[in-house]
Amino acid sequence: MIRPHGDVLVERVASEEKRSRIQRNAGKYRRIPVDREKIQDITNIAHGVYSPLTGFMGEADFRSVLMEGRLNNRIAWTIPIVLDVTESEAEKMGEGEEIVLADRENRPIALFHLQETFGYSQDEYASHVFGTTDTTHPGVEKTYKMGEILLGGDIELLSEPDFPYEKYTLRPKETRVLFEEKGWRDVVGFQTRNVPHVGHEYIQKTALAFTDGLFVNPVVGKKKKGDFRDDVILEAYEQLLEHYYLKERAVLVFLHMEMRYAGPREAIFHAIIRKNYGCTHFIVGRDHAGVGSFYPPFAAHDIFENYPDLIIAPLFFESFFYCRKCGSVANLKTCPHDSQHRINFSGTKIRELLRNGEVPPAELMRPEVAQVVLRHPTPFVG
Amino acid sequence: MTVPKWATMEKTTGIYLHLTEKLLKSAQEAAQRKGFASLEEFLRSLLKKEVHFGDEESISAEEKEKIKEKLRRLGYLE
Repeated sequence: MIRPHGDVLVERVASEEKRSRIQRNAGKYRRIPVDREKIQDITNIAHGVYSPLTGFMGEADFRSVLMEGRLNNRIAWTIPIVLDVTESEAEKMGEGEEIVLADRENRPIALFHLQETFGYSQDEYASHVFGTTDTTHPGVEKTYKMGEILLGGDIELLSEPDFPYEKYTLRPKETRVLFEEKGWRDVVGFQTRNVPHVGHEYIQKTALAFTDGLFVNPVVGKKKKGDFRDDVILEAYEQLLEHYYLKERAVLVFLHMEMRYAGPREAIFHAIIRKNYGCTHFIVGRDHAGVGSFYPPFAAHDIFENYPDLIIAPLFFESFFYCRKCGSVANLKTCPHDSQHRINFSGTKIRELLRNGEVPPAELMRPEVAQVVLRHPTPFVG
Repeated sequence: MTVPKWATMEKTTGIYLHLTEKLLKSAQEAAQRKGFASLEEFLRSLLKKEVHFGDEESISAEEKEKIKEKLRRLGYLE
């Protein structure tokens, strides 16, 4: 089995004794309210999805991630995982303090051991992580809404949040047992935030042909307007796997995490997460985790050149199309025919057809998948 | 040779690799070509790829059985 990133599968769940102690003395702790996306980060730290992180980044790690795409100990890491507060909130807190991170209903989610507070530049954050300070980029827009101060320190999970889709939510510890029980030595991870079209299926099956198992791992959580809703993605994949995949060769597990739309940096982050789940290979397509035209189409491939130490092997896929003359999915390396015979897998075009209540051609989307979207009253994030 | 910061914190193996001059030169070139900071880092990466650590040391038999039960309940395992 592939080792977790940084060699340790992190587990940061508070003991029963500690949980009761905190419950008994709940009034004594300062509370920081955290939103759903932050709760997802906390849970991902606690269950080892973000191994080797044990909490929110301190200044040395934060700066090293921004400047070099690595933690301060040189381990590859490209996306800051941070806890932000306003200056006035930070002034009330003391380093060494234990703070309760609470959800919207004021329920304690985690105990936070505040180790350091530090300021940062939002311009620097945006330009390094997203490659732009243009506020039409959703990640940049969010960055400029963050508090001015970051808090670094370890966390301990106090209670499991009520995430939806329990059936499809597994922790790295569990997927590692699953892969072992299935006898999968080589496992390929597939990241998605879309309803699958035939091009996706082609990529997954091509990768599956030379590995033992496919780990379909859609991101569920906050997305941008126009993206597919989580329940539509779930139903679409259920249909696809039921009708077109061998049950013993593919599993569907959700990753509760927000999309950052950080393109190449996020591709490395996504690969690290799948490594922690136990994947040995990771599919990186065209414009992975991109948005608009902020990143060159294959920037997410090129960045892997800087990370030869990742261990998980990226599988790069270029653009595919359906060629009527070939009678199959093909690409520029495999199809000798003119463009008039080709149908492109344009996500925008497929979404437009579905929006108009039309069934995309079977060469582009499986009918069972198209029906899921068409049946849904509001299939897109509004 | 650049020594990564974390290298000083880890135990040394006491193993000496005897490489022919030709193999050493090729390995150094490969490490450089692939972007590793040092030959040591390159060799460590190769070892991690090839060595299997067996069962995850952090999972006890009891915990593993609980996980398997959950996986069966959710339909991931027969």
